[in-house]
Amino acid sequence: MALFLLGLVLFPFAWIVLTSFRSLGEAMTVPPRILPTKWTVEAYKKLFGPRNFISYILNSIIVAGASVALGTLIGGLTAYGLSRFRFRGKLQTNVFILICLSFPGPLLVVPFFQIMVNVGLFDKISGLILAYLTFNLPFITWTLKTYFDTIPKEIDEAASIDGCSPFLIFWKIVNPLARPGYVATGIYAFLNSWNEYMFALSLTKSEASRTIPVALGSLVGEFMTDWPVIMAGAVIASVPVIIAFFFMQKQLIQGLTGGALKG
Amino acid sequence: MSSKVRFSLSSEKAAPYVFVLPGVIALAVLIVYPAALALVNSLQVPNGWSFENYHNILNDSVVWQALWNTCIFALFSVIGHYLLGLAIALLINHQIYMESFFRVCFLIPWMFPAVVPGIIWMWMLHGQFGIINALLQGFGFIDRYVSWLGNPHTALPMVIIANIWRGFPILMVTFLAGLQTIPEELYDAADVDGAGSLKKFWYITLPHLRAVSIVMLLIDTIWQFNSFTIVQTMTQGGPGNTTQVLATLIYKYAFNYNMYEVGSALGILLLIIMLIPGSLYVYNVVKND
Repeated sequence: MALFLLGLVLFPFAWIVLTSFRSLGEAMTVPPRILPTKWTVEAYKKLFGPRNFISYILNSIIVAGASVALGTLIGGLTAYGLSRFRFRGKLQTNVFILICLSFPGPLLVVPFFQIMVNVGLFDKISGLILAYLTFNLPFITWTLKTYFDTIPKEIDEAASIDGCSPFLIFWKIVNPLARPGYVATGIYAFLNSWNEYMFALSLTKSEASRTIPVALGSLVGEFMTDWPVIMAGAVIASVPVIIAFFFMQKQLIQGLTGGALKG
Repeated sequence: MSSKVRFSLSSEKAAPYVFVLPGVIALAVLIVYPAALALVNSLQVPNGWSFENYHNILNDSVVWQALWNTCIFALFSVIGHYLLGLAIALLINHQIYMESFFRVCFLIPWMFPAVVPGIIWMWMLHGQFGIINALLQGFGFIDRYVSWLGNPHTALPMVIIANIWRGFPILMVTFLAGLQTIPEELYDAADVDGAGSLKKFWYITLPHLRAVSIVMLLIDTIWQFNSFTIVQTMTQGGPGNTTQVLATLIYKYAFNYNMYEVGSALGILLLIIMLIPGSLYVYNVVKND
């Protein structure tokens, strides 16, 4: 039963892989054959030849990497503060982070576009990095906070008695212990950024600042839609993610469920 | 600089704010400021302030259609995600050796960059070369190939199906994690009392998944209401606005028509609608925290 359902769920994935190894002519035969009669990497060649697919991949990596790094730097501090201290305004800060976490992104796209045009960051990778912080920062902050909550406070207290300052405790003692939490949160946020479409579509224009999702989307709109090439692009964009999941599934699933589940 | 930081950190009272403030300020700049700008934009007209933009969008039949489509899209997507996610979680929960294999395989639809599911389903539903047409015709369900995404009656259901396929894994994973927190003794005790599996599901499993379910249903509702990518890639709101949702309409007004003030007003409308599920979500998470 589970295997049957799995087959059904995975069929669309198998179908794009099979399509990506066809020639354009064979993809457009009616009725379609399940297996290509002639396997070919023509589509992959077209993807990396005339089209600048490698530069889109690099853009995606830079945007996602930088945004996650910035988000982790700022979010880690905030998360630690929320997890460890009692202070006035703590509840309000928690609520604020959660509001940001569930804030409607489509509302932000229009003002972000206007701001980016005004400050000269429209169609720039750096503008996208900032835009991606709108969802990365709240997510990283909250997920890290729930992770810090699982590390016993007694550790901090012992260090505090030994005369460590709060910043030293955070940096030297809690951070190393929280490394699995950082890894899970970071990879998950990276994937979210890697996959993002709406901001990337609205805040970039030129080839030079395109990310993979935008490049894939624009292939669909071309005059003569070359389906095997699109499918090859989809495979290239997805395979790194799938491989990452297979190797790090424990940490990633913790990152996925950390925000919703306790402990 | 560093001595100043150490000084403020050494004071018990200041330390939490030193940690928390950078993030709060960053979020204020990144989220509160743009949102405020959108509000100002939507209220500004050439000769002063007015609700004209809101008046206009509320009298626009396309906006109402998008609102209705968004509700249908979100409702069926969330129900689909929930039921499929729960069913598959229950199915693979007791597969001791295969569980992690199944878990990661069932997650695949969710790993794709958001444009890919849209592209995959466009291709499968293609009016001329689509495999779904070939299969349905092969089994005799349809006489002629159907342009599923070009037909106003079938486009929205197809987009919803694609969206359910894409989104259920996240619910499944959360349910699996939730199922693992249920103590096995409860089921053993129920066995002793002679309870059937349906009864065990109703009286043990479901109540234990309650807290997770509420949070996930709320956040998924918020996500689906804001859904943009799958609609934009599959239909761009067409044919004839039959799949237009609020997010794609905002994009259309702002970036196809350059009517930023209308886009902003629609964004504020979306925010107002999101106040209910949003505040319930925040309340529930803070309560569980």
